[in-house]
Amino acid sequence: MLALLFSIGDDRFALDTISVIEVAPMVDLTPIADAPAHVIGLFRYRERILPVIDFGTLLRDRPSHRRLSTRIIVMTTQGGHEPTRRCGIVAERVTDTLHYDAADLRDVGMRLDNAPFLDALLPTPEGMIRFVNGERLVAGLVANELITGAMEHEAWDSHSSSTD
Amino acid sequence: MVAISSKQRLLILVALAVLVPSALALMALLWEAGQVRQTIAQHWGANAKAEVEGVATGVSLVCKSASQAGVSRGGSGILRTAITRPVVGRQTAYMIIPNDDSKGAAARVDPVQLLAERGFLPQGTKGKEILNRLSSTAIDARGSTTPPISFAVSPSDQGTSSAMVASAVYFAPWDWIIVAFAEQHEAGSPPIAMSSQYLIGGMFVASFILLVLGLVAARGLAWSFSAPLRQLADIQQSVGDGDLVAARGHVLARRPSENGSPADRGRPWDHDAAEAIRAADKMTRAILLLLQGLRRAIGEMSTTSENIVSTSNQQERTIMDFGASTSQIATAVKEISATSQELVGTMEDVASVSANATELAESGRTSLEGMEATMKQLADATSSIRGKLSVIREKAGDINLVVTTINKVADQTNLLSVNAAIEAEKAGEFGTGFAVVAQEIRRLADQSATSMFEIEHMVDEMHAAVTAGVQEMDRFADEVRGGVAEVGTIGSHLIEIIESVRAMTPRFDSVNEGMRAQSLGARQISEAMIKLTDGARAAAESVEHLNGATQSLRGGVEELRHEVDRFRVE
Repeated sequence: MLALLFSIGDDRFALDTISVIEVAPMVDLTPIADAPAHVIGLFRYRERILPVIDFGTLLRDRPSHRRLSTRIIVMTTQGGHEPTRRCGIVAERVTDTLHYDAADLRDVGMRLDNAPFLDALLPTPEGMIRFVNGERLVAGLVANELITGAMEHEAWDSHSSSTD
Repeated sequence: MVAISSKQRLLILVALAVLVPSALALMALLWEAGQVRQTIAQHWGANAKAEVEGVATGVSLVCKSASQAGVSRGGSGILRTAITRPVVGRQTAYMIIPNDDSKGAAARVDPVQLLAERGFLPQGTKGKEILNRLSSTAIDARGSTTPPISFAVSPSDQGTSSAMVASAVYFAPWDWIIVAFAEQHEAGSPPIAMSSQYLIGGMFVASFILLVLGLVAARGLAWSFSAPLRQLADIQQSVGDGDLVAARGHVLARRPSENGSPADRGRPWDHDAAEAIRAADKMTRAILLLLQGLRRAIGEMSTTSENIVSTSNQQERTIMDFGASTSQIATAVKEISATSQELVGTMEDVASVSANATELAESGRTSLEGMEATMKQLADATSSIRGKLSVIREKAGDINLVVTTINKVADQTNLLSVNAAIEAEKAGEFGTGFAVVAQEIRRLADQSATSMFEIEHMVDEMHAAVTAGVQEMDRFADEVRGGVAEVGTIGSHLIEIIESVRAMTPRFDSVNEGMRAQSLGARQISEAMIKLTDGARAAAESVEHLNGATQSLRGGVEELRHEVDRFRVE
């Protein structure tokens, strides 16, 4: 299994690459008025318009530093859900990957209401890091009605019509 | 021409009436006395057996010739009343011995032998000794009776000796010694008392009184004759004594009044006296006036000589002061001369020092010029360094651009490798090799990113250093420019100093000339002052001579005044 490593401030996180479509460089986003603070804009990805969520604002109420290593992780939902949901997550130091065994994951033994996707710890040579459940993260975002399939389509259509 | 007044006439008659009988009586007395003397002399000379009893006293001698009595022992008569009032004794003898032996001569009888034969003196040398003793004591007693001398006599014809006493008196007018001998019959009682009382006969007394009266009358007559003459003599005496006031008093007392009595005018001698007194009056008045004038003149002379003395004293003091002042001035001038000579030396030193200063300032100016050039070069070099530093800074900027580009490339490479790894994972077993490549690419990208980071850091540091260097160089360039300006100012100041010092040198010369001239002048003044001091000394000496002369003049004036003062005029 391959995990993508990233940071929020000094905290290190890992994310299974199953939920990751691609890592894209940070670009100028189109802001969305009246949206929650952690939804920082819209991102045009391969003929589609994806909402972009800042992980720093979501977890720490602090926007991520804009550096070359601050990138947009393009994520998607896998199976079960129809249609497929996609979104972009902005995180810092998205420069490395790590091979791990799923048996090494440790359950933290508790469920956080504001962050239900942080349910395990992954031991690494640098120490134990928080393991992000990508499926649950995207599902949570969808449950909050931030990300919808219709919206995705509409956004796509409006985007395709407006871009031409 | 002399006239006699009635009073004078009477006086003359009285005098004649008294004087003639008294003169006759006196002549008789004197004749008798002469007889006595002659008789005594004859006796002593011719008759060895004559015995003398008598005494002589004073001017008037009362005696009886011894020749009448012959040799009588204890005989009396007139002589006894004259001499021996309390004469007590069985036998008494008187002996008159001349004091001078030469009077008696060889023919005369020896009185000792004579008295010894009569039993009044011891024989031989013993008797002579007693007699000599009596003579000498009598002469010493000067007219008084000597104390009695006792002695024993043993006559040759009688078996028994008798005690005798003797006394003597010296009779000065005739140079005789009268000796009295008596037998001592009562112990303790004075054997002999010789008296100096004289019996003066009535005749003698009368004649003496008459004589006195006559003398008084004659004296009064002479007085009345000589009064005017005495008056004149008094005037002359007063004039001679210098008491002109007294002389004037005499004259005024005796000057006959204008309306004198006719009796006075009638007497020719009074007229003559009046003439003489008038002449004396005139004379004394003339002398008085002369003396007053002389006294005034002496007073003036005295004052003048006092003035001369005080003036010459003052002059002497002034000359002394002048001499002292000139000496002081000479000393001061000498000091001035010495000081000015020292000043000349000092000025020469100053001149040489200023010349040295000129040379030093010139060499300093040359050095400053070199320094200025160097500073200018330094300023140029600083500018070029600054330009080169700017170039370096630009290059550093360029490097930064390159580094940024490389960083971007590394970032893209990393992104690519990450995505490749994700794709390889999705590819499963087919993507394993690809995953390794992706891993390797990411490693390289990470290394280059790290190197770029370091390079970027170094370039940043270099850029900061160069910027600081440029700023430093700018500041240094400013300082150098300021230094150049400063050096230029100092150079111009030095030039001014050199010019000033050069301008001073001729002034030093002129000051030196002035000092030399002053020194010479001071020396000349000093010599002149020495001459002036000598002159003052000579003047002081001449003033001293003048003082001496004035002193002697004053002495002369004093003497003259003393002489004039002998005349009393007030």
